[in-house]
Amino acid sequence: MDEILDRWSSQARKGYFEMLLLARLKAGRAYGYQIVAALKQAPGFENLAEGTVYPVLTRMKKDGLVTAEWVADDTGPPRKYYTVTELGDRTLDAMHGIWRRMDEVLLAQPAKEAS
Amino acid sequence: MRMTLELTTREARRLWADFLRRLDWANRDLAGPERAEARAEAIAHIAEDMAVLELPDEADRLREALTRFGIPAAPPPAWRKPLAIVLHYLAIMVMGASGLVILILLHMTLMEALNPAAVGLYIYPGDNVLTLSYEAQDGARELLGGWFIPTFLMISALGSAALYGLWHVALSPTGPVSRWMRP
Repeated sequence: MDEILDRWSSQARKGYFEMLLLARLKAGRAYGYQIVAALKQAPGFENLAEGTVYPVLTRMKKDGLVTAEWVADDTGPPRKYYTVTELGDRTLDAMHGIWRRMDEVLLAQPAKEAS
Repeated sequence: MRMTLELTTREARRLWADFLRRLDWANRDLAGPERAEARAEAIAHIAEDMAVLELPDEADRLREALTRFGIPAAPPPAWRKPLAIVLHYLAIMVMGASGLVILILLHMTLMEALNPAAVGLYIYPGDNVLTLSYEAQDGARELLGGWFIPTFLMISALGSAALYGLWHVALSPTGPVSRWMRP
């Protein structure tokens, strides 16, 4: 069963990825390292290879879901801050809608069987 | 944007140079500015991570930060590219010549069905060499007989499979030889 769960979990993580990134950025603009730190709090993402976040952020930027700008920092190298766009905000809301409907369907199954 | 990571020990600099080489190879399909951007983001990330890691040795901090970031696969050694080019063009020639032979064998198989008395595999008198003929001369002893068609269909199928394998390895855009040929 572990192997089946691992496979399912791996597929599910790919689906959550952009949603989690958008959710983090909706809370406020953030740079890559902060985004990764937030992502690692989510179940299944604890051992995330941190570098995998950047190609996804780049794709999201190309899709117009986020914007990015380099900001100089006195204490270290410059940081690239990502901000969610209006399109990204609406996309996250739509993703939440799908998520809620999926949750409702899953919760309704045992109730249907019981009746 | 040009960014660097200031490192003081030789081991850390070696690790860092190796990582950048791997990163650039992993991003080789990106346009120049995008590759530079990816490199700058990686540098910023590793610098942030090294700053919070509580390991006394710089090289250990870097190693840990790189492991957490994910170390891309190493680029192939430089000698592979010329070898790959030779293999690539050699494979084209082999496939061309072998493909022609397979076509001839298939044509003979077809002709054997239409004219079984003439086409076949023969041994001529006073000669121990097997000879494929479209029109056998007097005194020739035919081998295979009715087995000619299935045998040559089998040989053609095996030859085609071998050519497909060669194409997959040496000519397919996703095959190892094509990957070695990329800059």
